Amino acid sequence: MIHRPLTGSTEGNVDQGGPSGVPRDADALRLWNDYLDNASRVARRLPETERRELVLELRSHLAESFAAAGDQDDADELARVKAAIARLGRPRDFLRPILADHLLEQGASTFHPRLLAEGLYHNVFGGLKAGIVSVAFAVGYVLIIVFAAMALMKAFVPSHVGYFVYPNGTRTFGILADTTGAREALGFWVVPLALAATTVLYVLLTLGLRAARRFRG
Amino acid sequence: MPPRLEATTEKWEVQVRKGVLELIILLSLRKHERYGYELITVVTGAMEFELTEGTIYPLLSRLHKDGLLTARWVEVPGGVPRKYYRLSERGRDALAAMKTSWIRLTYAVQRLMGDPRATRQEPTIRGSAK
Repeated sequence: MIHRPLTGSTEGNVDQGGPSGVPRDADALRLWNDYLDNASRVARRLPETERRELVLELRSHLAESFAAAGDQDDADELARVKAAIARLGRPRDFLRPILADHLLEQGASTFHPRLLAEGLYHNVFGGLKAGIVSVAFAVGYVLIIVFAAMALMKAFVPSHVGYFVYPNGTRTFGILADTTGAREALGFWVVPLALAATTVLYVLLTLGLRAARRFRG
Repeated sequence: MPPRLEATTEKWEVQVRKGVLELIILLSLRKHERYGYELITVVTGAMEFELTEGTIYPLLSRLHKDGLLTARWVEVPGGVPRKYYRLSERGRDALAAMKTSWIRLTYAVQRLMGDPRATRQEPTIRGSAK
């Protein structure tokens, strides 16, 4: 459910550009409301009153920042809203400490594994980008294990490891349980190839991990 | 290869600022009731550093939850209501304690840096948050 940012502290409507400090230009207003909607979505796990107050407070902040950035000239309202939003930052970045605190507190008192996992996630990772990066690294390291296993297993179960070409044109590289009808195209070349893949991937991933750590804020 | 020197010092600086921001907020609320945006202007003005403005809200929320701050909404005629924060009694006590440890810490660092004014003697702490 998307909770609309409120007009005033009591009504439940989208800003229409009424009070001073709120833009009147349609595009600026849309950006404004989208931002507050997004903040509200990011804070959806917080208790209702806390979430509402937080969004109202961010709205108040935007209004002050918007008003301080210039006169009541409609022409640059969009630019002023954009600037105010840029200075305030992305909710999913700056709200993380509140979310982590709340989720860990809730998760720890109710033994709810999902809340705990989410809280830990907010605590440990720097948002979606970092989340994707860590998943990519995890997949990479799993691939290394697979390649290494291929090199090793070729010695024991040669007919199940390699590059398989099926009569219908399907090709598969890996360790297969059922290879009926397939022709293995690489023979024992699989061993040096898999070892080379292991080494290259390992070096690339480790360099990548180092770079990622260096650039982390 | 170690990370660039600038990256290392920048990271350190970010950590130091983050740690000290709480103290700065309490200090800024010592004499005045302030709302978030105003507080940010005061903090960035006093400290001469850029701040992602949003970072102040989780901090305010926690200080409020811990009972160091009280908060109230104030209607602004023809404008958007503001949430004002004020230091609570508990907040004043916390600030006094934080000031003491801050002075001890800076004093110790000064001494390590070889500042002749920072002798082995404990610093005398005058005044309090009250």
